[in-house]
Amino acid sequence: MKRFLSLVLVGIVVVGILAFAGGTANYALLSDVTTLNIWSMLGPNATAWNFYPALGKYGSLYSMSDLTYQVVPALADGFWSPLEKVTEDGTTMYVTTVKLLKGVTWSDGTPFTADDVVFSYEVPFKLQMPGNWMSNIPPDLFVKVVKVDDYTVKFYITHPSGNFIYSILMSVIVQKKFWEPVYEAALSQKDPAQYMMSYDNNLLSEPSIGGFTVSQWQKGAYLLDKAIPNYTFKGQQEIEYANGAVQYVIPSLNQDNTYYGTAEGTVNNKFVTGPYVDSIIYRIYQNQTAAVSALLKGEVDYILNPNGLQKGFVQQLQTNPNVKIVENPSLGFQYISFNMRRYPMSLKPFRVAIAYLIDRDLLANKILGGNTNPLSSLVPPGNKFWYDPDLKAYGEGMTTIERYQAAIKTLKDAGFSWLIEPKIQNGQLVQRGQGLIGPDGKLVKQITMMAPSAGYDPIRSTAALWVEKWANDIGIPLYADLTSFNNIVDAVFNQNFNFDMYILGWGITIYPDYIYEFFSSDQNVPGGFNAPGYSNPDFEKVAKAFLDSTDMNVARQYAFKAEEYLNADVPYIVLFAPTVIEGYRADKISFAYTKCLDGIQSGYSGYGEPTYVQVIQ
Amino acid sequence: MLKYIGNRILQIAILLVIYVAIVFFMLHAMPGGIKTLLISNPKLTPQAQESIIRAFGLNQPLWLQFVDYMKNVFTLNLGISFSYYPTPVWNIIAERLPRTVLLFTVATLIAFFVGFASGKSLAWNRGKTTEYVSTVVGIITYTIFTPLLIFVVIWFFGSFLGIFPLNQFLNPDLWIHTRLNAQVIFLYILMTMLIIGAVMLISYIMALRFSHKVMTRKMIFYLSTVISVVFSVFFWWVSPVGIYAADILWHMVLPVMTVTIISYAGNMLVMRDSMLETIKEDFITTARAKGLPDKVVRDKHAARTAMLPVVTNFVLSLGFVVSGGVITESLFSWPGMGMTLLDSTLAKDYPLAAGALIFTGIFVLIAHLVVDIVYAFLDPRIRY
Repeated sequence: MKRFLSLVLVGIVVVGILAFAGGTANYALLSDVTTLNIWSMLGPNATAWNFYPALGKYGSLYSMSDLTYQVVPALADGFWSPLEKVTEDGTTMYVTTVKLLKGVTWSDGTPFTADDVVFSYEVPFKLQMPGNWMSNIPPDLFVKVVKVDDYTVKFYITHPSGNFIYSILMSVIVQKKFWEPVYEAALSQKDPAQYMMSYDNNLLSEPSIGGFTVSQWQKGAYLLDKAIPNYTFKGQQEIEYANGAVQYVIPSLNQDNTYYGTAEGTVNNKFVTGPYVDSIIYRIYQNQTAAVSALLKGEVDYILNPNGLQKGFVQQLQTNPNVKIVENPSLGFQYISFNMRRYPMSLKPFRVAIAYLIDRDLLANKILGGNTNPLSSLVPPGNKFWYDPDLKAYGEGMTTIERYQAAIKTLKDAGFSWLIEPKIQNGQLVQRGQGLIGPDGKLVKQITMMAPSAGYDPIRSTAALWVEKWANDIGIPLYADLTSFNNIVDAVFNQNFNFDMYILGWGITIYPDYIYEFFSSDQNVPGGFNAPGYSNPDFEKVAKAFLDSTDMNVARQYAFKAEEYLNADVPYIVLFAPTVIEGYRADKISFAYTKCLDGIQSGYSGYGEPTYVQVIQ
Repeated sequence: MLKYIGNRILQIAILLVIYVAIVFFMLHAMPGGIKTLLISNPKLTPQAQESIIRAFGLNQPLWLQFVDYMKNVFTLNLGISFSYYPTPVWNIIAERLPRTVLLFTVATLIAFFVGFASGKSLAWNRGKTTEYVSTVVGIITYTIFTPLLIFVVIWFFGSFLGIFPLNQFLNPDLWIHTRLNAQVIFLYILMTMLIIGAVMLISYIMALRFSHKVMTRKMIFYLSTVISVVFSVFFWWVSPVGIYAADILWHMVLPVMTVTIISYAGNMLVMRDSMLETIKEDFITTARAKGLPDKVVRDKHAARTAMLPVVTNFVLSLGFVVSGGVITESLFSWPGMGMTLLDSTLAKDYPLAAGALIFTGIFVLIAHLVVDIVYAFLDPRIRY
């Protein structure tokens, strides 16, 4: 009874909120959209600019909860069944059953069924669609998906893997009815994949299963997204509890489900899905200055940019009291990599000594004026589930002199010496070291650390110069080569790891499979991700176990262990997590939340919270 | 003359082959490549990256890619863009070209006429205060830092006075109520300009043929021009799409103003210098001695001779119109050929970058040929 009453109350609130809906939100894009074709959009045309206005019209079986980033059912009804090992035609596979939500419809009224699911996997898999399709439906993991009935499918995979959950089960679902004739025509073409990716007839009339659909596209000028009146999930409530539970109430489907615990105790967050606006206009500008001017003038309400606003615009925006500035850590990190195939980077004590020298807090908070966030782990703190708070970096909490001392001791213990040994007296470095001699008795030659130039990234270039200084202070012959981004990537990935050290950055995902990808031995090949050339069988074992776990609590423990190995061996020294700065007109629109990993623009926030954004009437 | 044109066309073809080859190898010589962009996305597995590289044809040896590319270019196939995969390069150029041509042709025409008229007048009024002031102003505008000028113009007219749009080429709030494609309106506007231009040319030729009197010729020419302009305006006024064309033209005002301010001074200074040289000639002294009015001596005798270098500049500028202007297009959010070239180069989109460069190269080479032909008409001493 209590539950029924609370549902009724919440329903009244929801209706009340939705009753005040309406209006048009204006978002700014800084680059033109290149395609509305989903096959191309997740293929070679996978750019944030395409995703912002267009990806929201598609669904997936599973997605992630807002702010807590837990895997939750979206178009699926509940979680997948435990994986069972089966053998078919002599091939061992693992199979799981996924039930689909009943009552979900596309914007043209067509019901969402298993046919759409099977089609959405079969087409990209059979045609070997390039790009993100191949990453989402990896050929070495995905075998097939089979329709059991209209609302049940079975997935067959080659082996248990976390990627099954975070890639395959989160892959995009398209409408079979719209795309089947195109697919049939494609099969008779010389290159069916290219035919599918180049199809552009009536894409504006492609039905949507999301809250919006792209209704107009004036190339180079704007896109217009219109709200779907019969959006199935309109009014859905997402309630996040302090105990970790996430509750979803979907009034239109008469669904009330709670995952990861019980729906009781303190509520941390509560969101009600809209859309609350009638439409969103995505206005295309060619540069940030134009978009910022438009924001100040009120032509747009919010600027979408995967890198956020440049710091220089913040002051200008702050002159307008109606503009709210939001800062969030990005989902990514900047790091130093060693080439462990070369001497002396191959020696762990050398890498540890460099790690001791780097004072991230000093760099980020003092030298760089708080323009970035110090980070020492591969997983940012905002990714709460996967972040290991117990992991400590070398030198954490030490002063500069203590760092010098630790680094010098590490090198000495490993057999390094100097022509002129660095000397510390009374808490001061009174003699800089010179002429580092390796354990082999030979002089260590100059070590070059490539880093982006100041014109490309002043933060990394400044960090590089300070690392050079600290290293030189204790006699390590490190030289910071500030060069173009392309030169670094070329040397590292195209020239077969032709580098000593470098500083770059990665954009990452919530599911940290990159812990394996960046350091596994099978990526230690030309063009592979394992640029350091890291090879540790113990790490390999736990990292593989992490990747193969479909129980995320178990996977997490393996991930923590893998990170411990990496933390100790230092193939990478993680430096910073860049800040995403965003601005929006608080007098014109409001969001459900503004403090989130990677900012409001992130895919994890729906690319600008289109189903949460409200126009202030 | 025909033999000369034939030889020039052959030279252009040879130059084009060399140019296309240089463009191809220069683009591929840039550090990094499409793989550089793909590798920075860890979500793309190496397998997924390879599939994209295969789709782009970049897995083939460079010499083979070059042979295929040359074959395609000379069968008018500029290939498929990487960043708009799998859209053909032609389609992208066809979409962007009208926006660039409209903006920069109008700006170039205005800059030419303003520069020509002011240069002519300045040289004739040598020594006066207006000459000094105009020359100094011209030099300032010619050498000003373009982005600074654009920011000032946008701020003053767009933000401070609020009378012109800040940027973009249309107002979405107007266009969301129609299904019209802006591309079509651009083409209609260009067609209107072409028609007016054709009417002007035909009326000029007709005037020359049918009357010896200057006044009659002028009347035929100006009357035809005015009628064609009035008729065009009337056509757009009554047309249901007129408001959309007006919106585009309204958005053009600031960028055209900016490009004109920057470019007119070049024409003005060249015309001024050329006039100053011509004025010293004996035939001008003779014309004056004959008692001809000042205006006639200036316009019919001096300016006609002095305009040759300015016409060269003008025709060559028209050739470069297709390349647009990266700074203007970027700061005014006017996505045309200039932005296309910049974006495609940064994105390592070789086919699109090469296509844009080749397009520009063809037009510039043709412009050179046109200059030579026009010279023969303007200067009777020149014969091929």
